[in-house]
Amino acid sequence: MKLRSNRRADRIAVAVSAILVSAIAMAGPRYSVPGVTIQKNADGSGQFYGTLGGTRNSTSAIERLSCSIDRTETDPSAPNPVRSTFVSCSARDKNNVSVSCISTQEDAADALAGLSNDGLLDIRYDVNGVCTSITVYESSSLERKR
Amino acid sequence: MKFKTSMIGVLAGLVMAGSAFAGARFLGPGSVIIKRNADGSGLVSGYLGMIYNGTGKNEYFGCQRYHNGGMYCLAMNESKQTVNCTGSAFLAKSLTSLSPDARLQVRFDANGNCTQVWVIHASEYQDKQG
Repeated sequence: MKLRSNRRADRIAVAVSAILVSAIAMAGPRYSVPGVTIQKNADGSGQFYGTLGGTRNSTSAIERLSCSIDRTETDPSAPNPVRSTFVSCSARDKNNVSVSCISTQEDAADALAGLSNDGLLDIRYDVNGVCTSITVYESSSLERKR
Repeated sequence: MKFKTSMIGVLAGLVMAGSAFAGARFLGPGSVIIKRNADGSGLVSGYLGMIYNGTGKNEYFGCQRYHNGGMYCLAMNESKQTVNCTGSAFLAKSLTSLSPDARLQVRFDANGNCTQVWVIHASEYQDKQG
């Protein structure tokens, strides 16, 4: 499993650039991924991506994109506390197609470090619904939530 | 009367247009919620952006990470009930993902130790405004 954050920026930057929306007066370049894109493979694996800002601002009232990081530590004062990590990501596109994946890997949670309110998420999952790749892209050009 | 009816129509149209150009949105209050168990343990949750944008006069919710790896969270609800807890470097790692609009939930034990940090990012959550 390979989980990376901000390492595929070049590929994503090309993708984002391809959907350049506008560079308005008195503003830096602005890009938008207008909603969520879900690609399901025949074997049950797949990929979904979008920006938190662009999805919130999309023209479809049902589109959504989310990731969460949940770490627990029971009996923290004990010499060897029991720790767990749980990452969950999900999305729904304008066609009401939903997808989700989970991971209990620490590096999956680490990949989401630095994700901000308008970041781009690019997530791949395997046939078992396990997140196998999480990429976070942050840029001055990403659309803000409205 | 006719003018009033027209204005209502225009306003309704604007509201509809506004809602038509938006992805799914979380519409709850997002306030700080504190739940305490009889033994003193409990949880606190809230939506940072919505707390900031809300009408509450007292409530807040924040966490900090220390350079040595520890963490501390502090919250107060509208009833001025406060909670705080300190956590380990392991739990503090979840705070590296905290953003101004995230939903945050922290559980704590009876000794004031944080036992869970749950950060949720979602397109539905409102940014801080103003």
